[in-house]
Amino acid sequence: MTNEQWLIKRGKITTNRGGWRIGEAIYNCGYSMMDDLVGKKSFFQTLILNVTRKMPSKVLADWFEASFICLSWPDSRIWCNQNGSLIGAVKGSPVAGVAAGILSADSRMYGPGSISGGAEFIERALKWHKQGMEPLDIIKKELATKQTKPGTKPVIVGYARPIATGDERVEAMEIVTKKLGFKEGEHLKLAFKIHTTLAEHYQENMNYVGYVTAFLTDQGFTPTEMYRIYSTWVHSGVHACFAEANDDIAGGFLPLACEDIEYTGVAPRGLPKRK
Amino acid sequence: MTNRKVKIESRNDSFTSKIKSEITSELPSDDNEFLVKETRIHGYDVMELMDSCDYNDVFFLLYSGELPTDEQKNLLRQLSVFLINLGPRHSSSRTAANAAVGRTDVNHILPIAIMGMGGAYGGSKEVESAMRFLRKHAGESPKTVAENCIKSTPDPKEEDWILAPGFGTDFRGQSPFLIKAKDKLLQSSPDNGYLNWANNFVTFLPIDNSCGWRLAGVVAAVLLDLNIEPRLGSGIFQMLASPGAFAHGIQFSNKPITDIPFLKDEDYEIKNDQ
Repeated sequence: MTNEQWLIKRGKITTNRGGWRIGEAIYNCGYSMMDDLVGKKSFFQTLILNVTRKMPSKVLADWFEASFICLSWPDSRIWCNQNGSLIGAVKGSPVAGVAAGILSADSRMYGPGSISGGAEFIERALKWHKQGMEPLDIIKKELATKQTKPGTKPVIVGYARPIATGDERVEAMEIVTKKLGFKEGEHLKLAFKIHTTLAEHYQENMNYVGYVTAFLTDQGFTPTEMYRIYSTWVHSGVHACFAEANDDIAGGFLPLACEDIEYTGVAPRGLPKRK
Repeated sequence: MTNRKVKIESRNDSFTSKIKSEITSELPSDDNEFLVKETRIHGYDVMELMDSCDYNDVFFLLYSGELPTDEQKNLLRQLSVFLINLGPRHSSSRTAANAAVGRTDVNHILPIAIMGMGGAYGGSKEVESAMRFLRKHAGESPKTVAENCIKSTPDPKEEDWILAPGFGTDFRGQSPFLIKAKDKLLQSSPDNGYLNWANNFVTFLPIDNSCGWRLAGVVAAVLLDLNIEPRLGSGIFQMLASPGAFAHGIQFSNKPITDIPFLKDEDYEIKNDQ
């Protein structure tokens, strides 16, 4: 093997996503943007097309839009939102504020960063279930693989939530799912069985990521596709938090006086004599 | 419980009322609690640090809590000079240059460059993963670890063969410049340290397939030899490599957009294979 795979790509782009042919058209995955998409397809249909190269149905795109609303609310105490607020307060650009918020949510604990873990779990869980394992056995087996610090509770991605137990967004999206005419697939059915079993034995519940990943796995999306589609998941709430702080006095968001920081380090000391 | 409906309840976590810092103590000024009259880093007065220390001393102090020993100072100096410029072909320089020539607000050039060096292939994610790999295996026989890596990671042929984060092929070859830098760093590294272990480990990788060092492997081993934790590794790599990326980007901020290639249509092939 040599470096030929890279040599053939030098100075040349070959794409199946599309591009701009000046004076001719702008192409998205085989569609002409101005002729086939603008005014005819929704933004979410186009977004999912660009990620997956497959044009989703309008109802599926509407489901995605509803799911984006759920993961982004304007509470500036939430970590990603607060970063939008802080950048707003120091008169940063809205793009920097929102970009920082989006990047902050690439987290193992919440937001799009937890998508892959949730999607991979439910795929794994269904495989085990088909081999005869009951939900409680699946939960025990999954928890046994978790390495946690002493004193902390192991969690399954998609089945616990910081700050609160339970997740109001699951119920809201169940209504959307039914209203749009989707049926529950095998991953989502199992996810709910795990949910009720967890609640009974571990006092934890399925969270929003657990619901979304199970539903979308049933719809044929891969964990990678979900992570890509949801990469900007939190931006709406960050927008709100940025805007409010940006309109306030400079430095006016949660200002910290010196004594608001508790110093826990070593006592004042002089520099050692250097050679 | 068989009902899907759940009650939403606060966990009532006990959050701290104050942010804690074991790094910085700030003494407020007498007439304004938001202003500082004295700042100390890990106990040292910043005014004294300004008189007696250089940048790398305080850089090391920030992350380790102590000033570096002479050996650590020398190793960090060598690593930071090596990483200060990953060159114009590195994705960090290219993302910075694309932003700059596109008239992006110059405030954003450096953050964009840093994002461009965050990847798991040749970037800071690979450094972090390589540090975790080395810390997990450095107590084991390098030969056995190498054999296990070869067994568990078949050669993909069509792209780089990465046997472990930081180790394998680089454009299906080995960079002579990287090897020279590694050899220099090896002279300043502890005899029983991670870089020496890794140097032994690569001798058991398939040399006929050009397997050996990748940039992340060298950086990871040196950072571990400096007692830096893997969770810090990606950020420290980003900081050390930022100056060159920013320099290569910002030079385009006052250049015409034509100074970076925009491929002609014949070199931009749109395939419609739907």
